[in-house]
Amino acid sequence: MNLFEKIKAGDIRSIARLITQVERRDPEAIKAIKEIYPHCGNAHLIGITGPPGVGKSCLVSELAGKFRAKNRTVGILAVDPSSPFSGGALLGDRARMFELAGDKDVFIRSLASRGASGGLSAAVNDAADILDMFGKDIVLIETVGVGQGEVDIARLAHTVLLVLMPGYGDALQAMKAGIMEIADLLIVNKADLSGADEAVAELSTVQGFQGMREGQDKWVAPIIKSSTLDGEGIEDIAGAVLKHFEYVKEQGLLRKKNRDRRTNQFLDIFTQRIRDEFMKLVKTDAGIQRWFDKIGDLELDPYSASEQVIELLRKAREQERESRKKLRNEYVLRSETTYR
Amino acid sequence: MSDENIRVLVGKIGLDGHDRGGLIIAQALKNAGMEVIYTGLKNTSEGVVEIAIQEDVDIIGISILSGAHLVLMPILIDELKKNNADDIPVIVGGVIPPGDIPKLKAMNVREVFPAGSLVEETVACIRRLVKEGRKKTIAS
Repeated sequence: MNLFEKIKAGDIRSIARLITQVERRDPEAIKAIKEIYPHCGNAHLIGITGPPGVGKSCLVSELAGKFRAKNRTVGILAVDPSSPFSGGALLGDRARMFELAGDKDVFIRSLASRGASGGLSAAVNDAADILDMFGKDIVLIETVGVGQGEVDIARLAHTVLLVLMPGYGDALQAMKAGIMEIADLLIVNKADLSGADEAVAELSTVQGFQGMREGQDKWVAPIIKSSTLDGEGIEDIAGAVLKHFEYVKEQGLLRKKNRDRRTNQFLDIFTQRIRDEFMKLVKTDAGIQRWFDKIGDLELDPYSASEQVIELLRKAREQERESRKKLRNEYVLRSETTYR
Repeated sequence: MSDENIRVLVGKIGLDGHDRGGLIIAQALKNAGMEVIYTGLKNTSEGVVEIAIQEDVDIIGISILSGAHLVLMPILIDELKKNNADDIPVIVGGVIPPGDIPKLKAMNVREVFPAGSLVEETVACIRRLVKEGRKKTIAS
């Protein structure tokens, strides 16, 4: 059995190993992803984001329990930050998810961000595909604890939960651009603390300004109070998440969301590949090395250098087109002589 | 593969409420550039093995301060075998009487770090065991 077949058969160790290899950009793993890709697209991807310490991991664990009770199989991808100094990471989400232990229909994987800055890790797209292929109905993707601008999750998930807690800030905070705009559900977690109702009121006031989802779909994010201590609101959140997915499907937004996700994924991979290939070229090409020297010595600015590279590519494409045209003309000419 | 991105499970099994030692080790391993999957307190052996497999860790580090190591470790080692995961090395740290160290090693615990061990020793041991393990995987 090759890796793809093992995964199709549901071999947990192979699945786990494949995610590791994907994180390392192992060529074997990329080969497997190519095989997996056409079989994806069945899972509902749910993003859970919010500042550190608002209770995302506990909420993910509780939500997973609710989805399991509804007989959905669940995958969880929990991203925590890598150290910018050592490269190491403390992946602590597991410590909040022990209630899911022993359930064969739950697969949890912690991922270190490994230098990615948008709240996710570079491997998370592929990891989500692996769990999708593995037959998980729902994949919960928990971002690192974020600030205001880490919105990569909106390009990946079908439904995004923004988790806040009492005292997160006032209406002005809630009106800011960035993370507040990507929420399909607004959660005020730790509702057992004082100030939860005020937080909900602030959020709904801002929503009343109609500014939050300008240029997006007509979905109005429900604001839900929750507490993982006593289970308040968890069932409501699970219900609202599923309702949002229904809305996405009914409105014909699913194809667009998937397309946007894949376009972004393609552009990310493509730009990275171009960069890698270019850097390989630099190592062997003295001419390009001289460019770097010139840029470094302020003789050539990086904008002009980029334009020159793109110009070179354009010329190469034109040349190719010309030679193809020539070939075709010759072929037509030849066939005309033959059939005459 | 260099020693970058070594994935280590750090956890506690059984009824043992003291996690200071485990947290110190987790922090030290993070600072040594490793990815630490910290499982928290009071796990079962079955739970730890499940996590180790899903997280595809290179090594399992168990902290025990309860004195129950001779009871709990055989269960964990057995559980690894049952799940065809006994290729994942296991090390133990905590309050372990010197006389118990050979007993643990006889159960296939690869290394034991009793009270007073240096974190540097643990880091070096993990690097060595993981390197050996990865070499074996490539050879097989």
